[in-house]
Amino acid sequence: MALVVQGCRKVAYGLSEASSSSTMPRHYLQTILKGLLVSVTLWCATADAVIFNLKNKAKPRISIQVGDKGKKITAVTFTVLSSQIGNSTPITASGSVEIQIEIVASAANPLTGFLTVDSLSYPLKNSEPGSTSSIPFSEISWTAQDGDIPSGSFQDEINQAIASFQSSQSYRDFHTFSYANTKLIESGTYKGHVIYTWAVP
Amino acid sequence: MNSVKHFISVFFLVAGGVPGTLMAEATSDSGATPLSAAARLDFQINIPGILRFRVGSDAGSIDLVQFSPTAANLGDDTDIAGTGGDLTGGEVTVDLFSNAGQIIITPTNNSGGAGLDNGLGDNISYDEILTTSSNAAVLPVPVLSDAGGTTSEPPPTSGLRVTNLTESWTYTYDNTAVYPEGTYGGVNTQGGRVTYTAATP
Repeated sequence: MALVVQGCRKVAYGLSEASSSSTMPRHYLQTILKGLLVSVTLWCATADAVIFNLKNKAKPRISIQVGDKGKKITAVTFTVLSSQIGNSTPITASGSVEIQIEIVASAANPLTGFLTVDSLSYPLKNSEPGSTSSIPFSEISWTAQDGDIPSGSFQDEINQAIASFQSSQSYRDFHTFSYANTKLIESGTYKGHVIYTWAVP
Repeated sequence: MNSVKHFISVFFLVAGGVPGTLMAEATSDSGATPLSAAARLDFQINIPGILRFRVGSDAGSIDLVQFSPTAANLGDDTDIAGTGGDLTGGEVTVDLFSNAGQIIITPTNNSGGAGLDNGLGDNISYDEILTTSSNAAVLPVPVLSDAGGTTSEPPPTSGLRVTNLTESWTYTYDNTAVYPEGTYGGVNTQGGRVTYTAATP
């Protein structure tokens, strides 16, 4: 087993074969080694990005997490002051949103994952009774903390490409969102959501 | 060996607790391709209601519009142009900015329903003061009257609740009758002040 830690920002390791022990059953040692690898992963939970290269025969798997752990759906809120409405002063949401994606496949059959976002299907609609006003998601952009999942802006598209990654890797970044505030818009509370899709064709 | 088993059990009990809290908006997929996992992110924008209204000069000053018919044309029905106003010639800027719904503009005055007086018991009705708009279809003027309360309702410029207008109103003296000599009205005196109020529901 080879383990390389680079300042706890990126971690890469390879697992080719677990060595045997004369004092302990082989499966216990393998289990412990796997446990240690999990520990390293958890220990680096504050890393900006983590890259895994798995050489064993992994079952193809992808996962995505958007927002805070333990919450159903994270909400990003912008509050515009009355003196700022539509004056093109960007409004930045407090805090950042964690986005983490992972793709695992065997080295013999690598896969490529594509991260897209749908910002068209569920636009920001005014919840005031009788209002038909809405704000397009193209008024919202984001800045990536590390750039692993890059900065950009919503394009009001169903399948807007964000990034693509080869197996087997896990990327995490933190996005800070900003509302462009270019429109004089009806008063009210506007609600909508985007859908991130992490997929392998 | 029991201690090894105990270590393994405790390790996976503790380590398993973290990924076991797998967040609601964290999804995964595994097995044969294609694979797809999606996660949503909510957005909310809070837009306060605002109403900004300006008649005449900015910066809090109040304009005075004066009419001075000559002796030769007293009461001959020749309209007399005004002087004063921030745009001069009896013309004032009208700025209307709101995102809170249909605006209603209502003028009132401090004449107690008697019109402009000269301090000697004589009066000129507000019916003698005419108002025209630079764009009557967009920003109609409310007709002045002794009692006040005649309204105008400029239609929203966007959707049902957004208004963003800058036009001008021009005042003239109708000069339909001969009145006793004197100075009628004035700066907040002798019934000479008109107050316009813009309101939304």
